Amino acid sequence: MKKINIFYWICTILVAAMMAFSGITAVTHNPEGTKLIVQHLGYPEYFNTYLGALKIIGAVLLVVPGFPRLKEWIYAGFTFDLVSAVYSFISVGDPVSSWALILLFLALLAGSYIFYHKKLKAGAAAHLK
Amino acid sequence: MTGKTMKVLYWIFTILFALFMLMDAFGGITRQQAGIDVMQHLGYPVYVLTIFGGAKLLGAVAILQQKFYTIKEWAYAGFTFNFIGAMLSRAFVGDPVIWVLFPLIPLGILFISYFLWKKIMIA
Repeated sequence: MKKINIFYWICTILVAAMMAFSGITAVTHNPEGTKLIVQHLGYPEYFNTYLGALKIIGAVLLVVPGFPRLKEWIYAGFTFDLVSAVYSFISVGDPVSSWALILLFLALLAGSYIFYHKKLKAGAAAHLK
Repeated sequence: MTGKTMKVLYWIFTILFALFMLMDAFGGITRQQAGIDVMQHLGYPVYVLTIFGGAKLLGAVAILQQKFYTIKEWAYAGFTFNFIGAMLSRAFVGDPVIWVLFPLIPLGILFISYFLWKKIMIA
């Protein structure tokens, strides 16, 4: 159980920090971020703003205790977000090197998700004893 | 509501919803002009039609199947995000209120399907 907890928190903190950072960059209209999402990938500026706000909300809800259904939906949302980001970079013809880091984020997200469910299961089992 | 009525209603709403999404997905993936027009109006790059179309196609299949619980849950989540995103986009470009609120119709059908699914699961 201790091992599960450690792995869960390492992956989850990293995912939440990355999403919160990305979200803050977006809602504060950081010039570098805007250049990438709006000018380079072609998304409207308002999309960058509201997606950023959703990322911050998701990051917070991922680390606070409780909300199992909402957490499940946040894992889904973050996965859709990252997969769509990869597809967007490929669509504008970027090389693998420009989006390879997203694969690492996806792996961290998967790690957090897997250990989250292991934790839930272990918690339920301990409760039955 | 009896279990049987619930099941019948669940399937009516779910199949209806999935059919609409499949049509929408088909239009997006094959790049129908109507879809391109909407994306240009909202300011999105045209390639998102493939992302949304592909996601809707997979999502429709996911909510029709009964075997994989998590995939179904994720599909309901994805569709919800999609309609919320649609409403926000319509609002941000300053479209008339009717267009901003329109996604509430598919969202409502989706939620009815979702809640009936959960009720049937418990029963």
